Amino acid sequence: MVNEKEWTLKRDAGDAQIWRKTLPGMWAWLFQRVSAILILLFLTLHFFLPYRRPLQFLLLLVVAFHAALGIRVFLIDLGASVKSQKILFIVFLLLAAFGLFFVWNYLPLGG
Amino acid sequence: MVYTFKIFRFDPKKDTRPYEQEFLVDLGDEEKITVLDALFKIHQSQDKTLSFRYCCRLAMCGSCALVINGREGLACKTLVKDLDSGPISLKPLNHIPIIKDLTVDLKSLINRLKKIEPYFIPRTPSVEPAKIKPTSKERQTIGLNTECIACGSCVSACTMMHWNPDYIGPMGLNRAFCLIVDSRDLTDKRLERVADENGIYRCHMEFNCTDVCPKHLSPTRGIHYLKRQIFWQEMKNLNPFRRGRNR
Repeated sequence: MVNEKEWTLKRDAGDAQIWRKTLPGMWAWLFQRVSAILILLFLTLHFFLPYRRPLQFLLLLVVAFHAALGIRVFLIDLGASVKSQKILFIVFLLLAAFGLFFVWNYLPLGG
Repeated sequence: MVYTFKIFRFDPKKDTRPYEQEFLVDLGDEEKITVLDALFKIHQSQDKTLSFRYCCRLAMCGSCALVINGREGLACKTLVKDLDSGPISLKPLNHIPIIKDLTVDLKSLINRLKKIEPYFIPRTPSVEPAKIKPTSKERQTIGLNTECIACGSCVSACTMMHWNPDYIGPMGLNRAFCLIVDSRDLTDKRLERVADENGIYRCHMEFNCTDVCPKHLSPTRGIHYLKRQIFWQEMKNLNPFRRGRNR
């Protein structure tokens, strides 16, 4: 063998085709992991800059999406049909958006 | 009609690195031309060194599983006309060692299956065929998950395979699920064998396996069923008032 190394392909994150083929289940997984990291970041910033409205909004945004997608995971863990996972993704994204709108506009947040 | 195929090429005996080769193929106006038909044409008329696997040509055996335009699928079942316009990219399955071009070494898939003893071991020997009612709860729980053709598409699509090469994978766990739910199966330790970081807990519910399965099965469904089984078993073990609990 010219090449003694064993060659194994992996899904290429730099390939636009892979991203075009990515479906809701994978997006839900990705959004939840990314939102977890962003929560840590925005929460840390929030401790040092507590009364910045844009920062409060961003923190609320990522918490809303992380919580909504977490509930989706919880429902599937409890036995919700896997056939519903795509619909649950869309429904919970919409619920997160609605929750965010409601909390931001109607709850007194000390702004 | 002329189609452009960009095919992954790599011969470990000659090439130092993989490369992509472009082929122009006139497939005519026939509507039911598959990717496998195109590969046959390329092999016959343009490059006899192109290596790919096939067998039944009917989407029954799973031999021709490839990554077609970034998505796993069976070459014999994928119609060329259903693909995006533009060059059609063909690559071998991910996470499985490559033998040559589009052919992968299935030993690694089989070794993952071996970890869970993927064969039925009867609890009670019998000379009579089993009578299984289609309406039985077990049969309905297993559902179509027994129809797995072991094509490896799910293993290729699962990104957890990338992070943990020791992960049993959706194919093996699906098989374990079918056997664990079957009360006729003897091996009581099967559930324990899959309940670790290389088993069911490596699944993070991306559903890639479910999306790409050519038989429309859901290994994720099976894996999450097993997670619930283990969870409730552990909850029962925590109950100090459970009868028969060893102290």
